[in-house]
Amino acid sequence: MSEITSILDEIKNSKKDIEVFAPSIGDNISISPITLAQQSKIIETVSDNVNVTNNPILALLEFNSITFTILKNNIKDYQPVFNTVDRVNFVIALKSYLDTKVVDNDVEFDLSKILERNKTIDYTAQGDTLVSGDVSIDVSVPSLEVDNLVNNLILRKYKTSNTPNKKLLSDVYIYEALKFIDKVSIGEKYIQIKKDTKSLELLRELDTVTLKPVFEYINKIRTLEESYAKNISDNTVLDLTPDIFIS
Amino acid sequence: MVGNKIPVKLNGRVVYFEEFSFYEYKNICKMLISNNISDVCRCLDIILDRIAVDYPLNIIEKFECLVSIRNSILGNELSIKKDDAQINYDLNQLLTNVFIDKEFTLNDCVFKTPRYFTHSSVQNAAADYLYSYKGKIIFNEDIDEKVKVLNALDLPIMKIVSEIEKIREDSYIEILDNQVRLNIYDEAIVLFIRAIFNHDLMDLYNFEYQLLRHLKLRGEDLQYYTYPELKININFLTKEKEEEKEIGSNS
Repeated sequence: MSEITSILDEIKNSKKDIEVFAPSIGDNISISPITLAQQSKIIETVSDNVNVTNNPILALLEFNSITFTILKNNIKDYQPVFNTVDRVNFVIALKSYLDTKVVDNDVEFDLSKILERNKTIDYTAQGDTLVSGDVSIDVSVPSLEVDNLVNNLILRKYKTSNTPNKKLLSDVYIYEALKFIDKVSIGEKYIQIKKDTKSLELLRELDTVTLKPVFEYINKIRTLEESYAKNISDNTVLDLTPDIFIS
Repeated sequence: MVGNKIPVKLNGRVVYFEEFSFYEYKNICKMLISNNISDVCRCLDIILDRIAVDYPLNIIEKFECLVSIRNSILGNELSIKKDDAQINYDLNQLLTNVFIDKEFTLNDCVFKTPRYFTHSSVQNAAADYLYSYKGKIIFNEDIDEKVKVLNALDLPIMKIVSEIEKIREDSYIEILDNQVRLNIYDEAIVLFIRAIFNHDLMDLYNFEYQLLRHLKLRGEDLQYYTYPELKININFLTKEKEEEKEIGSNS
């Protein structure tokens, strides 16, 4: 057996898992630490495409897409129920294995303390049926699969095409709605919202007033996600962007 | 045939290289026309193949070998012009441990002076610096194999990059009245090596023409003589011609 093969075996056998709390299931799960190859993938993917590097929204979407692949690979018993709220805790756990403390904009974040505190946060991310006039809309927190599916729709559109980036910001809102909406009903009739461009066009037909409760729900969930990334000492929110693994 | 082997002292060890013929040196200069770093690196590898050594050299050792080989062909002196004044530098000074091995440790991995001057990616650079894991030395392994080890580990890549950066920042010297800054850990060192090796090709062709015309050498003879030897022969010829001229003017 070559030296390299024996070292690879040794590394494999000595791998330690990280225990991290998953808010959606209210229990701990096991996750393998992020490897150097996975860190390199984050750096390369974000820095190799000019469109992505120059656009923080695309960089974040790309980061979330890579993070999804990493989590699916590294979580011992991956469950489809894991969602974007869980992701916050998972990413912090992966980073805390590399560095227990992170300094972002001159603020120090003690990641171990944050993870410990996060076990006590009241998880309020339940699905809901929102009513606006004749229209009722079923919403839920997007699973990591759904989030990734929709993120890839945006990335496909903006990464390779010449679509102006100023359109991206307005587009992101409707893509966000697509992530959260499961069903739209008018009276007895209803339509299941698949996560594709056809459904996206349908959502574009809904007026802003009808979608208002949806965006309020999205804001509520995003605020809950932020609470998992808040600093213990001063409530500053830790930015979970590619920088967390690059800087 | 016995070739002349020239010694190079490397950090307590001595390695030998067989000196280059004029014909070979001319071909080196042809290869060094390109200033593309990967082309230059390929040429430097060809030159380094002449070093008889049974272990892989790191970049400091390679640099010292290359400077020694260069000095065996063109002499020790390097000159540049600054404000109409000539500044000279003795390249032998670069062989006096001006660059030293540096290392750092992260978890179970020791990182030391790499083997290659350039790297295609951050991952490859980190792998090239990787010397050992838990005491097992893997410095000699291929980069691809070392990348496999690194990829399996959960080391923070940015810590490796920042340690490499620290080494790079602390490892430069200034020569030629501070006109040239050399850093062994910076890939620009390759262009410096190219610069000191290179010679104007037209000069070499002209020199070759003089050899063929006046010394009656054949093209294939140039494979057996070194550039310094041929220069000596030309000097003999010049001296002979001058003496003949002097005798002619006296009679």
